[in-house]
Amino acid sequence: MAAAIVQSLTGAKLGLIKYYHFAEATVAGIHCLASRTGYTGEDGFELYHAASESVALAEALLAAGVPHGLELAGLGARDSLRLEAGFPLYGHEITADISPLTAGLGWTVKLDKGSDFVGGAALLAEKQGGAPNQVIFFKTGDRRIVRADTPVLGPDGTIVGRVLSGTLSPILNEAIGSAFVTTASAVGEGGWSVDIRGARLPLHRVRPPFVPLKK
Amino acid sequence: MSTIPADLRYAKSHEWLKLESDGTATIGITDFAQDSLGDITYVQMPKVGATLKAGETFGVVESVKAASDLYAPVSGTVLAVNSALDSAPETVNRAPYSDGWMLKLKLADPAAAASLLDSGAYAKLAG
Repeated sequence: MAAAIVQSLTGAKLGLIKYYHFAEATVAGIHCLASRTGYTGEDGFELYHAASESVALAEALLAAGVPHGLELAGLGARDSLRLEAGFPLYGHEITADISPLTAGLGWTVKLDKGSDFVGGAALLAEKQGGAPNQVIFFKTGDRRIVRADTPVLGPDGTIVGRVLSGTLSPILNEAIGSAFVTTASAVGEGGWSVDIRGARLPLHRVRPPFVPLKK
Repeated sequence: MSTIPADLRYAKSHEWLKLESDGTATIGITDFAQDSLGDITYVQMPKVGATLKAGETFGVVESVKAASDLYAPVSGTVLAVNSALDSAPETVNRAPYSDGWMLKLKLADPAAAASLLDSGAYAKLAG
């Protein structure tokens, strides 16, 4: 649906843009970088353009999309989609204090190319010594949302980490999220839990995506 | 513009109360409250038989945005809770004054409801 809507507003051949690639395109007469990402786990586009063109572009997309069933969605909807896909969000799963290796994104960093870069030595040391913490994903089997910064408890009740992201998955009909936990606690399924207003809820470890990606 | 039925009483904390003919009351949250919260994902209710004190929290309503306390508009004893909200909390968004009711209460003082806001006064607060 996304491709059909955007294609109706541009002469650029969107079919030539592969998943996670981008190209320049004039959409509704507005110069854009069209990135085939969307960050939802499904086919979609992110359009980068001059801020002054935002309203005109949004109105053109909405007018073109309504016949296809397009509806507006806000950041809450986007957050549930990206979490279901297991995509990290800067400020949550990756921050200035959470390295790509800790975040499980080691594949994005090439340490064996022989060229130095800022932070390279620190990442190499982390890779060789083992990261003391790691980012894991979870679901709870319960509808109560486990919010960011909720302490994560180990099997003996001691705090072994904190929640990074949490929302309700409309597809799974249960709370899902990510957490920053000690590597020492991440044995097997972890046995983690959280306290939500006095109720102890177990965190069931999930290797994302939570739902199959449709790309 | 939110809906504010004329036959209900209201608390400043955005709960509504309907006085039934048998002296009991039904309680829920207002259209304004559900609209402000956004998509409701969870409603935490007290147990039947629990004693509520006016102004104190009796539960939690949770949306994607936030978890918010629910406050008892009057004192009383819980006669029933709307257990349908366990599996379908979004009913509160869809029908805050009917299917989305939360509690039925036996009032400690049936006259207490008169101290709550009427629809006109609540409209000034939440209109």
